[in-house]
Amino acid sequence: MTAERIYAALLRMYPAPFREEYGGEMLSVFRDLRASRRSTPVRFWSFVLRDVFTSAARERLEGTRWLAAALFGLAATVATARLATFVYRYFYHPYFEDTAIRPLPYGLLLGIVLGLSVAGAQWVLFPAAERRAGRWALVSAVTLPVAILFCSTAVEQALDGLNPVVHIHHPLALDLLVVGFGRPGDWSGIAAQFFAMAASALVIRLAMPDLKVRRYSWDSGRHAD
Amino acid sequence: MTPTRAEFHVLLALLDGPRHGYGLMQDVEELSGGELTIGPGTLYTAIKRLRASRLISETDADAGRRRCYKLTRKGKSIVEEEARRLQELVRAARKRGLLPSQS
Repeated sequence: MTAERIYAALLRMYPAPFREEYGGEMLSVFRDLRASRRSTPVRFWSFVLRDVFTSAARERLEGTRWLAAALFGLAATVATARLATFVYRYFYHPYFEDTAIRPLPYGLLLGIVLGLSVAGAQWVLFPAAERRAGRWALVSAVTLPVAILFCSTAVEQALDGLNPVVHIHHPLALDLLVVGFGRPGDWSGIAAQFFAMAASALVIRLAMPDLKVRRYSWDSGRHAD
Repeated sequence: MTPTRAEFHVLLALLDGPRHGYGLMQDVEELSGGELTIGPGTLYTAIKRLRASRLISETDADAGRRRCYKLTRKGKSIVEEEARRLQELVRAARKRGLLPSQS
């Protein structure tokens, strides 16, 4: 196996879009670098490997930042819902008997929390990728938590529907996610609540000022960085 | 945007005009007095970020059909701003006796 073939194989460590855009050029630069190298093969390859591993890891990490923003939004929204439930139970008064949480305002309120937390996470995690954070990452980071919460609520509703008399033990993930979400009694109420949540989260996120381009938290060191 | 060390050197190298990837690598090493040697991975991840931030842009390929990059107006102002910031740091270091004062 020639050195170029080894380097071409190493390029597979980068995400496919990056490889398609720059892979050919990187191979060409590697060829020039190898032709002009002044160090021993061991030193040369340790430099090349370090460069590939660190930059590919960074590129891969950058690709998962939208997921981190979405998960932070999910966690913040669930925590808010649980806190609201705790406060409601703590200060419960018989006066509130028979009062129900209305799906639309509750969904809108949680959507505001989701939109703000996603925007905050993207502001921290997307310093230099402003354009991407402003486009697809915006929608996906809001859509994913809403989809997870909607599916969890739907599963719990379906499980409860199987036997409305005897309590069915839920999987732990459902307990973690759904408690506090004030599940409406019918499916149209659930749909309205989550639609309102998605809408207000997107509006809040869109209304936030554009993410400013700031520096990456890492700095470059000698050689590979 | 405050560029990283590698990005700043790439911007600095492009002040002299458009360069292709390998030319940039050589210039970065020369500009840093051999202190900073970047590989193709570091170079092209920096190029990607600088292009995304519109600090550099692609220009016509050279005679060897290699893609070349040039500094944008925004890139030039950023590199000037960063150079001034570093100058201030050096001045502060001199003032506190960390570096010998200029004669």
